[in-house]
Amino acid sequence: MIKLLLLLAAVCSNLKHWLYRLGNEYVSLTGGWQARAWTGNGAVYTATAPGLTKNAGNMVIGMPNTYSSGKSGVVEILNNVDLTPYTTLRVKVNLAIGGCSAVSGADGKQLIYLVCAADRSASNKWTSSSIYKALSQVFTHTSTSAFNASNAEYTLDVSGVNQAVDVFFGLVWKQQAAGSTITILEVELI
Amino acid sequence: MKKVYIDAVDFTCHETPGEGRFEHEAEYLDDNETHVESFRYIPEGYVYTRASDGEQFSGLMVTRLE
Repeated sequence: MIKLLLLLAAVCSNLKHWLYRLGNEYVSLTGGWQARAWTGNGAVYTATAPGLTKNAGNMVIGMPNTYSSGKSGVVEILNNVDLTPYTTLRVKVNLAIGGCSAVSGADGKQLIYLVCAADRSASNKWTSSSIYKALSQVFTHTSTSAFNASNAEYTLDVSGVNQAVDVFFGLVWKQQAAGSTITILEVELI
Repeated sequence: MKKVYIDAVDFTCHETPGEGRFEHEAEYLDDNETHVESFRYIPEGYVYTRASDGEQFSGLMVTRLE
């Protein structure tokens, strides 16, 4: 019976792995989490490291700049992780998104992506099809009104990713009337 | 951005038009991308159902197939 339970636990442990949950960065697997200046499009957005505050139960990404030109950065794991055993990346976040500038033509926006990429070079853009292995633009905000959400869940199909890759939140923010935060609660490979 | 033809069922990308495909300007495929058949592209507003387990994913999402 004990062997059966151990086998069941082993099988279950292979089905899903946390990359982040409630303050645990799962460092042995991820190497930890960091913010980095890496742009999704260097011709449009200046590479800028977002803020990253690590709390006891969550991590808070900050996009602080208001009434400024477009910026882009990532919050990523330090180690590449082999996604071969997994099919889905799932994240749970709280959103506190500031409204965009009301100035006509400002093209204000906040964009959130989930991305897997084998190449971390900041000389490339992570939205290039030669760089990412899987990418989803999971959140788009262009309204002058603020937006808030709790326990929002987003997923990315990683069933075609059969190698070790960087896993990250890709971020874009431009002409915000107020700063924005993304509170990371959970990041999970299934 | 590259013009591709996307299969309406499985959202695989193709270089040429064909039955069951719709034309799309793919923002996240490079102009010089020569292997568009290596990608699944789900445009914004579309939903892809993964055949292996029925999991649904909302666009905009792009994945390599290999």
